[in-house]
Amino acid sequence: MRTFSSKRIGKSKVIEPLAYTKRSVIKLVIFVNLLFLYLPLLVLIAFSFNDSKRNIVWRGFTFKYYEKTLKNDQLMEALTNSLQVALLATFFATILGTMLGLALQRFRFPGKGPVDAWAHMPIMIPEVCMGVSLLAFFALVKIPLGLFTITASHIAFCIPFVAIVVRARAATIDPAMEEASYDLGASRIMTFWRITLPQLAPGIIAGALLAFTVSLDDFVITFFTGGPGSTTFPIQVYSMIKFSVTPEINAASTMLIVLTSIVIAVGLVLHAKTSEKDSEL
Amino acid sequence: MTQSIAIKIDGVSKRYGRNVLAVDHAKFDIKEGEFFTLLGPSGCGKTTLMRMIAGFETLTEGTIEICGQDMHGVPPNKRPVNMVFQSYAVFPHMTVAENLAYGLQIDKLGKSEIEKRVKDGLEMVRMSQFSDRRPNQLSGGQRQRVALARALIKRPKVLLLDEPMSALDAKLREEMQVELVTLQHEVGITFVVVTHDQQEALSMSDRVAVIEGGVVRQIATPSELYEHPKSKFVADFIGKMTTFPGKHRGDTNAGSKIEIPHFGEFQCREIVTDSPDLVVGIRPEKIEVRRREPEGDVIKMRGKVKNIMYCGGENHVYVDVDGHEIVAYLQNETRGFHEKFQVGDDVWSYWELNDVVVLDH
Amino acid sequence: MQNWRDEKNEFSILMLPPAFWLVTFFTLPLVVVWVYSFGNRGPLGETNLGFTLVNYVRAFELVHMAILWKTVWITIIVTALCFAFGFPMAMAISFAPGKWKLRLLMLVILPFWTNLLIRTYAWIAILRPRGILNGGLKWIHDTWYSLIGYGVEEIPKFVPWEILYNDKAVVIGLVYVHIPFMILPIYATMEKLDKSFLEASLDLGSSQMRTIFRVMMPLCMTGIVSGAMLVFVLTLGNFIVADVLGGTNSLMIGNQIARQFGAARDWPFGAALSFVILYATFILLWLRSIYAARLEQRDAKR
Repeated sequence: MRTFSSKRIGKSKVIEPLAYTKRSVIKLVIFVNLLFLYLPLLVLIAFSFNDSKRNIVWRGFTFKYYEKTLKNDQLMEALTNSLQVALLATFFATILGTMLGLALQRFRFPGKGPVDAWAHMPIMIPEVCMGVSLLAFFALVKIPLGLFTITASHIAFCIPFVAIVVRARAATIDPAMEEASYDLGASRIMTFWRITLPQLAPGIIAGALLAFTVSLDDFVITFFTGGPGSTTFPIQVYSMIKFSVTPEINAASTMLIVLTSIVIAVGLVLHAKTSEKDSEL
Repeated sequence: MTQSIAIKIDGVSKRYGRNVLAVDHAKFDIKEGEFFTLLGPSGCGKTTLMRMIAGFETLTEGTIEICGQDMHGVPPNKRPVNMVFQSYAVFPHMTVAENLAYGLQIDKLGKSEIEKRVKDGLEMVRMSQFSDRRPNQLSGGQRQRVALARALIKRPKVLLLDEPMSALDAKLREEMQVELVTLQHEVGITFVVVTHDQQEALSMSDRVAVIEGGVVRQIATPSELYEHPKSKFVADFIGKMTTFPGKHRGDTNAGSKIEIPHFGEFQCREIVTDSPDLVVGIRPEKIEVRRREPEGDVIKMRGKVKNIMYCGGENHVYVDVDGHEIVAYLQNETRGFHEKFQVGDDVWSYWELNDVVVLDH
Repeated sequence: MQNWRDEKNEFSILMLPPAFWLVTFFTLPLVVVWVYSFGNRGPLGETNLGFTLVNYVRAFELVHMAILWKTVWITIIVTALCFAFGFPMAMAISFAPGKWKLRLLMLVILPFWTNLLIRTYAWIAILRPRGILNGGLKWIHDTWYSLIGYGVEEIPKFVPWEILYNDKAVVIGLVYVHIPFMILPIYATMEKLDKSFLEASLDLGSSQMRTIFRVMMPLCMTGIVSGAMLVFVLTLGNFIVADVLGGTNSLMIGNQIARQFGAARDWPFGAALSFVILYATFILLWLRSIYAARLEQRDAKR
């Protein structure tokens, strides 16, 4: 009996009804999707090492485009600008976004629905619209376009991202934690510093990293709110693309990809650590 | 022995919005050193009442005094009570020892004093070897001990416990019940427990307040509550009871005359209230079932066995008496005291007059 | 949740600073543009305030209407394609065993973290006449004729597929950029879906396909609607993809807005165009919130 049944299973593979990933159709879907998502990036990275002006044929491995990129003063200045903007924007957006996230998570107040929708609007509306509106606004109040205007806009744009992440984290904290702290005699301020903030920290850090990458990568809003002398990295890459398609862009792009990947990797490691801590809770 | 009052609850009400009355004019005292339980189905207002004692909810009406002091306007962090939360709320980012020390640091105690008290506290709940663990490395029962110790080493006047057993599995629950009672005897602090589990309430408490729909229905010791419930709600909520509608047919010297329509009259030894309509009840373990007609001064009813449920230690026998269902719990023993029944058997069910409980309608 | 009245100070401290920033650098600018959209352009490209609907009327003139129409058309195609590829992918992730689930999810999210501009630009190397795609096609062409082509006297010359710098490239680029926005919300609702609904359907004798279309899709509707909405809104306002991958004829409305605020320097008209797509966005968001509220009500009744 036993040998008979095992033989049968060996012959025709029985797939459990809901084990969709074992079906070849779904395997094909995964393959096509991943190919679609990764081919362009892999090609781009590969050709940044290709010793050929015309991308298609592989002419040998080289670092010369990276050398060129690193020696390109304009590009390096743009990178410095980008980092400066991203760091400043992250700092302020993290503080403001945390406050917003907490306020929305904790409080009931009249008109909460509309306020909630409004606060998330910067993520939802087309970036072009936000970009041109900021351009018009800065022109109207006569603030010269430059790093300040870019940073101010990035902060506004990043606040909702931080708020969403912090709010989600805050929602997972048992309200009894704070009550327990009051119950044990702590004041509100002490409870905030010693109980709420430490438990909120993973969310705040994740929000900050998100804000950093969003700001670092932003092209559209920077395009409209930047002026001469405040070229950021994506803007510089854009003008290079518009000027001509060269392997140097591949190298510069790869560098930006690597930079963002590092930030994300740091974020993931932190996340993994905290969720390990939180598990079984 | 006269005991002083730990908590005085005087005409306390809590209203949410316009229509919801969560607690309705609660008025009772909790004595010092008492193990007091607030028992009721979920949503009955027992948790609200406890949170008002702790200071997390404001009172709509009335006053709460703790050790003779009016608590009006006193925030939770300034009250001489501590609470063990339903979820335990053990701070996940601190070790066990840090959790215990948290409350003491706020009291600005010296370092050595804190260390000593933390050590004692851990010993008290037998958690000494876990002092450096994080809460996520602990089981539910261990977390509960941490929460207990954390609250107790603050040396509160009253310890409040919100559904302390609800997060534990059945086996651990019984263990912890015993432990909690022992601990309370050791420390001598007043315990106030909120629970929806009647078994838990009966086994642990000195006194129980049964709450329904925001109203305190009865406050009594566990045995009083079981043997002499005042209302049908209390009788049903605590254990099982077979009930009949009854009529008050006047009083004699011997007691009150009660009629159970279709089954006849009997004398009751208690004096009952003026309302003519009432409920007569009998606990299932007080009912006997037999084939032969019983003799003597008992209340007896003839019926048919409708169903028998085998429950291990006892058999639950359901007897149909003219459309009334009588439930009897018969001990399952091998000495042959009880007859064996089958569904459809004609039987007599009977009980002693003493065992009848007369309830307000 | 606390009532703000109980903790007025705390609430104000938390709420006011971010609200101030968002009002200044988000709401006010939008108000400015809204006011501009009723103004008119002076002879030197300056903006004069006024109250005229001329700009909105112009937006619906034939020339611009064509762009508007094409934008909407492209957006619909892009959304449909994202759904066609995204739904099965979401299913694959949601039903993948343990470890694979997280890995696949990460793999979908990762490209989304890469710069939008770079992701778009990367397609040039693939789509251009001498790019990877045409290289592959040429290889197939050559092998095919070298295998069967002995009898043929003249082997036809390989003509590269013109797929870059036109609408096809724009659609490909837009699907590429936005597909994670479709996959993730669908995946999120699918994760919460009680799998026994599907088992019940199969148990009642329904086929896999029928189960997917009649049970899984309706139950994942919230995710599908959010995903489609996100893709639609983002595609509608996108201008980089058309700018980098499109030809001179593949202008979308986003490009048109950028042009009015740039080279064309007709801010009132640009403002009106902005508000045309903003209104569309608002209406879509509003419809979605109504839909979500209705679903919530339905679930509450259950």
